[in-house]
Amino acid sequence: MSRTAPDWLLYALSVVLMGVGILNLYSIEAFPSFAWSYAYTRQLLWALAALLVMGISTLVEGQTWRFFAYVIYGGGLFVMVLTALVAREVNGARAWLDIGPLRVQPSEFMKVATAMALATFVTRYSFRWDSWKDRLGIVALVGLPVGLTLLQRDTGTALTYGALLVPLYRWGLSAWVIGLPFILGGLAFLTLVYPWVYVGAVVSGLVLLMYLFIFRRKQAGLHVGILVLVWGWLALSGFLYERVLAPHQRQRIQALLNPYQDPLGAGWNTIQARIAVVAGGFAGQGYGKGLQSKLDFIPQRHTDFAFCGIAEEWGWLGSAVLLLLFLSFILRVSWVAERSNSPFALVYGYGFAGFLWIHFVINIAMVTGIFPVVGIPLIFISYGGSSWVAVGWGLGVLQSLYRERGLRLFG
Amino acid sequence: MNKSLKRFYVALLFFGVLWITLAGRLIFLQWRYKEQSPYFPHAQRPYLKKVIGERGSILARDTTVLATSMPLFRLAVDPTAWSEKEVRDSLPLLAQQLSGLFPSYHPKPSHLREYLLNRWKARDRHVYLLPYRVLLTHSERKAVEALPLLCPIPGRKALIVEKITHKRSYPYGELARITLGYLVNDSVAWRGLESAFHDRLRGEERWILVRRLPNGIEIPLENLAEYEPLPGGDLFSTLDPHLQDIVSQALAAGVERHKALGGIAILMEVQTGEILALANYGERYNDAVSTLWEPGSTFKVATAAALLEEGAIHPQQRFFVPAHLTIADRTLTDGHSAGAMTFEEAMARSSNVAFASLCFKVFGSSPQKFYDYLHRFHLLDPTGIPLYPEPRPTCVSPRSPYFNPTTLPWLAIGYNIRLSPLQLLTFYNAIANEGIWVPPRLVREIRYPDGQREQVAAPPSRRMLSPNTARTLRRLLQAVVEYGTARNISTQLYSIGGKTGTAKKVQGKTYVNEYRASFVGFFPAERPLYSCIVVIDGPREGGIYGGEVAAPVFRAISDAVVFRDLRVAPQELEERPYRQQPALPVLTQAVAIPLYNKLSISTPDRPSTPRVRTLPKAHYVQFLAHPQQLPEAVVGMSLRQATHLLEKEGYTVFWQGKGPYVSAIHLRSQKEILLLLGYEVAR
Repeated sequence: MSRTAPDWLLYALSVVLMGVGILNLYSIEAFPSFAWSYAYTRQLLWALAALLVMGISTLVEGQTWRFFAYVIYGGGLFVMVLTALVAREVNGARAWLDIGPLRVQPSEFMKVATAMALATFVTRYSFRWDSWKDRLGIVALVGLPVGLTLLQRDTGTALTYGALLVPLYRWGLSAWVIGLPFILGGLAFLTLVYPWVYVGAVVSGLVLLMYLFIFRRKQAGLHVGILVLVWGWLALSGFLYERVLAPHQRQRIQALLNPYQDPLGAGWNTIQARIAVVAGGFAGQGYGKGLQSKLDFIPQRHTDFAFCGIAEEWGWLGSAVLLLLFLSFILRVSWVAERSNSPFALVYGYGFAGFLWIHFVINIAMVTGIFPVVGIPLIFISYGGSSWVAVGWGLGVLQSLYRERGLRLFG
Repeated sequence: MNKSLKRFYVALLFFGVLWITLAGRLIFLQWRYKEQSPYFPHAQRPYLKKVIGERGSILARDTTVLATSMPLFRLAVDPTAWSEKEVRDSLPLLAQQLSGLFPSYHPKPSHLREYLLNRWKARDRHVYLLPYRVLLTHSERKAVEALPLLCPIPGRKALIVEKITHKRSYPYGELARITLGYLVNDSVAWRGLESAFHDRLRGEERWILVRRLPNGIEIPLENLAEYEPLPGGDLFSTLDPHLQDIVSQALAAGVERHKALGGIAILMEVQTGEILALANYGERYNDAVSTLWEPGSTFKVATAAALLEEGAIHPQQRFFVPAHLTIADRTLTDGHSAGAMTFEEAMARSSNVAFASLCFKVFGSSPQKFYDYLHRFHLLDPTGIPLYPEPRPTCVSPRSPYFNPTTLPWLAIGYNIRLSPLQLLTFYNAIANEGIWVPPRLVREIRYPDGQREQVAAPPSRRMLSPNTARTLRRLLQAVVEYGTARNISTQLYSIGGKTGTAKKVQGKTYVNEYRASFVGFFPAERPLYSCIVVIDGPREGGIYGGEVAAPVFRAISDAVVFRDLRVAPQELEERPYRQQPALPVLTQAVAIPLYNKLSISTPDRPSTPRVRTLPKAHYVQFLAHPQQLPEAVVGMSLRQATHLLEKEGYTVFWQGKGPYVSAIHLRSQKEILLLLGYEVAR
């Protein structure tokens, strides 16, 4: 069995990102020095752990992951249930499990496990897109960890499972299914800004134009169906917003629309993050000179809002470079998945890329004030052991699959 | 293209588009909000910021507050001021009481306690007690300051009070609201006194140097206490909230009784011209000052004044009044029968024909002379009251192209001229004031915080009528109430002089069958102290005439004012003059009926009980049933009679107090009774 080399560029990119993250964690401390109480010191150890896990899982034979995918997935579910039952509450969520001196967040590892299980499921020989049984299987596979995460009251993490739409699309899911959440989400957001009846009227007008000029008065039933769906969703979204969302979630959405409604409460994060970004200007204040983070104006400056430090100290130039690094990292992951020459690696790789991508987009969007504040860290920039090790593991799995790209031509 | 590869490129495109969105968002933020940056050159420099002093209050004549600016506070707490023992002992109590004060913000005391405890553990030094947007009034602040852990004790000051802004408040609610005016958004004055005296009420504006910290908080660079802007002046108005309340209630009752469109009422002090109450039904627009109406019959008094000053007529002069009067192509009729009458009767019955023909006869050849009188009576000029807008009265003048032979006769009975109710009232007020016209006043003075006082300028008062004419007119107006169109409001308690008016309303360019009922007058008529106007606009039920619609409202107002001045309750006054009538509290009917027959006092009631209690009324004595059962029956008897009856029944009798009658009884035990003596019997 001859296995080839892993993708060294992917390793390089992740090490660079880790380095940027640790440098940033160092600079946002008010009086940085080497002590275990500082986040960056601990993060150095976590980075080593992540690299170790990455290396070990690269050495594992690729097909092992496929073989044990369901076992890992099942074990993950068990730990998730355990966490939901016994975990202590931190920031309103019960997502952390204390194991000795370590505090582990199982839901981070569950993302990788779910991507693997999903890849195993959809690359079965007997899998068919038009089978309702298989469609239900996908929903169940993804729904279980999402439900357990919601049970841990960690809405942000549950939201990231939307990333799994990316591999499904790559594996042949209709683009409409991908587009639908975006369209419906956009409509729901518009109802917060404009009266829902107006939104419905405009959409109805667009549908009518489509019916008249694009479809040339054919397929009337389809258009009526769309209208029913749109109006039903608009009515439902108002209900969901008022009744299903918790008050603090509503506050965060309102704060997005007008942060100055409650500048010291719900709007604080958005305003202070914006000040940090604006303070950075084009070239930034220089390394170690960002006051917004240092003086603790930014809440969660080590974790969810870590990007603020980079934006303030490195300015738009530094942020753009970081954004480019992320783009290359994610595209490289997709490229490696494409080149792995195995359906399992392809779907798993895209799942992993999707997770990276959704973390990246939602986190930056949240910091720049175009998405409500949710607890989603920025991969390799935000402080957090579980997140780094889980990503390292996920990368290692991809690399081990990539190494076997020459071995087979089929499944 | 390979279908599978196409999906790869679509995914690529998707990542790319979102990436561009985020990078673009970063650029947009830095361009759009660049002045929010703490490093923005402007943010470094100190800059001038406007601070405005507290707005002055509007006070009533008894210095109660009609409008004031209340400070609003935001409260925070510094938990580090608490010791561990204090937190342990008192924090649950504090949370309990705080959530009791603000249940909508802190529904669960346990959550609040947990929150404060965590803040205390985190050594946070500034914790807001309520959501940031919530501002508290002074009384709420006092309530919070009294709570445990928050009340200041020596060596501990945990509560941090931020005074944020002022909110205008009107303690009397809608009372005289349009006269007081509005303060929109607590800054822009609109209507009423708020608007008219805005420049004197509003606080001083000062510019202070501030610098903005990176987190957006502004700190003053100078000692703020030295530069605290001065508050505005306090306005001492002439309004009396008690009378205002009476007047607006009487007006509202009148308007609602007749299902009218609206109405106004003004009460004025005769000698000073001070307005005690100014009510507009609904308080939406100040019709009393700002709307010009054709007065109708109430204007006949001006015609009478001109005729009397001219020496053209004597009140007791008798002349023949025809049933109708035709001038050019228009005919004028009267509501009453034709015949000979004195001038006083013509006024009392409000004879259109009499006034129109007299005016035409006297001034027909020189109408300008009549207008000169109107000028002298101040009826063609605004009164100069400091409320906006006060329009100038309009009138068809002899120089106008619209002047024709019918103008003067119709002017004599109150058409062809439009006046605001206040302008008409000032004219009547001058008649009450021995012929001296005084400007209506709504503001006594303005007092500034530095002790300065400012009097509000008003037109000078001047003689408008000879005292003789004024006296004659008062007599004429008394006749209106004694036996004329307003006899329904006549009372023996005090005298009223006034004139009814029922003016047809104009819609478009024609008169329609809708009316405006009014009554203007003064009281007490012999030595007038108060003048008052009531106008009910568009009554639709229960009559249309001034006498039946507006005059009762006037009477309700005058009653309340007189009773207030005499410091008695209205119902007491009703009966006081008849107290002299012989009336023993308790009598048997067999004795009482022949007795009252002999005195020619009627006793219409015949209760079934042999014994009756008597109640003197205006023109008769009312019999009320008296209980037959002992011991209650002794109430109202003399002590001797009561003791006799009670002891016969085996009671032991005690008594207490002074007076001819047993006013009440009190059973001490089964057979012991205490009689309370007094001058009156409890009803």
